[in-house]
Amino acid sequence: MSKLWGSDIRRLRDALKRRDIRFAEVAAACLERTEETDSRLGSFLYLDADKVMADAEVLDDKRSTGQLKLGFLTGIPIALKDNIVTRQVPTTCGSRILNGYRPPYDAHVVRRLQRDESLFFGKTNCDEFAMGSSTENSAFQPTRNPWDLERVPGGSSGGAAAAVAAGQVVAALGSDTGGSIRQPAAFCGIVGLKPTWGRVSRYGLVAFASSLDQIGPLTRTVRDSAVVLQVIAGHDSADSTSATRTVDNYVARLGNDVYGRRIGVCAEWFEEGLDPRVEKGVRAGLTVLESLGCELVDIRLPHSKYAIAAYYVIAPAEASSNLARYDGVRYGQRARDPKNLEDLYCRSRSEGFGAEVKRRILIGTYVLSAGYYDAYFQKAGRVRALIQDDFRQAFEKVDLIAGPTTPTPPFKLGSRTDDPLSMYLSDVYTTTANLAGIPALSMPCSFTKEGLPVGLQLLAPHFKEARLLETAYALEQELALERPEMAV
Amino acid sequence: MSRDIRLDEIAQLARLDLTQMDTARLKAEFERILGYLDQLDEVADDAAEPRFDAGVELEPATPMRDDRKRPSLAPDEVVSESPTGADESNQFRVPRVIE
Repeated sequence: MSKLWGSDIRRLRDALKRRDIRFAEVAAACLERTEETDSRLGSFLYLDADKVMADAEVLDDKRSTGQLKLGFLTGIPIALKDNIVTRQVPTTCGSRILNGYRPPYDAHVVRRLQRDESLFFGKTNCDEFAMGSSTENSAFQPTRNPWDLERVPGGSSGGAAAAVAAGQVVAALGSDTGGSIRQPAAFCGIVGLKPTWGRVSRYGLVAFASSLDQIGPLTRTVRDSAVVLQVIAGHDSADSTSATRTVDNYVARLGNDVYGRRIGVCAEWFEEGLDPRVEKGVRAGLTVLESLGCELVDIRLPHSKYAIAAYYVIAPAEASSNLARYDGVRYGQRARDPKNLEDLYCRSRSEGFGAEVKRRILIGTYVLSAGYYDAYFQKAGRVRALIQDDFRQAFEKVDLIAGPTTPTPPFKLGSRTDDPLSMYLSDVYTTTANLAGIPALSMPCSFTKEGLPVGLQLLAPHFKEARLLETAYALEQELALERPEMAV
Repeated sequence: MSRDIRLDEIAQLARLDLTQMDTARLKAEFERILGYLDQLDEVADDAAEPRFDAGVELEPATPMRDDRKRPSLAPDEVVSESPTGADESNQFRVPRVIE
């Protein structure tokens, strides 16, 4: 295998199974690749290379004594977005307020990865508390797009997306509240999946907006996405919103014929504001779906135009509540010499939080405050109900919905930081899935002339991740996308 | 349209201190964002009952568990992560609450 670090999970697992390679070799390849590239990319906030090698060597030892059972992800280097708690390993959520914080427990998804004996490969950079679409809101460093270092990797799971795209790791877990897995996946030319709300436990995911947040995989192939989801999906008694419904066999269903599948195409998503390069790529993807025997059906999602407005009321409102816990008392940074408790709270928070987080907490507080609750929060709730209805009605006519993931290819670093609203508008196609709780996936469908990735998004009804993945897989296999040369 | 946005009051509710921030700029950003949010007015009040959940049917809707003591986080480990560090009595240390 020439480029071990660029391999997918199946090829690595096959080679490991045949003992063509050792776990230590896989680890070393990814570490070398990270060492070569991370000073330019800035994907990682934390990585203990010695521990990674030591863990890989333990796996090799266990195998040599016949004590190792090869699971789906055994020995596979997987990075975690830094808003997923890892016991005794720094977890900052990209924020100064949690600088140095070492959680006393592991997130549920971390335990599932550990059960499979995957190789923990560090914590990745993100927008502070997952609030952002470019990873420029990280308190520590920006992350750069591996396809063009002057451009953003997307956000908020930008570090995770860049790490996977560049081959620093084989897979990563990110989180998606308004598009934070799918948009960076689109910008970095990889596959990003947001499962149905409740499909994956949120225990140990630092809460941003609890009715919208979900953890999901970032991978280079659709099959890898199915494998990772297989491992992390399922009920967790520590998350009372976690679904008890049986987990489908996602991997087994890949390769199924998608002939006759009805794919909804929403006219509202192809209107003004969509970059022609993105439209071209997505329509080419739709044509391939047709060639596979899928039927493209016109649908309307009439209230999707209000999705961003509804999202930017509901998400900040929930965030203002969820971030009230950062008070300088139990964890994180505390202001020096507080005069009294109130001063402790105000100064700890003001010193610890960045501008975007403060902005969203203020918006959230405002829309929930007396006198404005009806004008904003109730109205947003109404829009949410209507969006959920739009999808219910659409899914009576179609099996899946397809469209662009983002309105533009990746934009340049610094180009939207002066105008928060312009940043918010990059979520125009992704927030609907979070508001409706439905699963959605982004996969690369083309590259622009400038060598920038374009993402196509697929959406499915609740708990139909298997349908999503098998359709994406069929498209991926048929597209056989050729990638230009990466900037790293 | 200039709204009467009393940033100071909102900041007080949110326990945020705005003195280090460019409040003129913050107010302008706020206005711009709220201006965008105004489009929500286009949706009639009787168009639907508001929903604040993800619309996913979970069973059971409210899971219960046995009222049995189970292991939880180690108190000393938790307290040692606090800004004032480990404490013999496993308590979080804060400034006086009652003057």
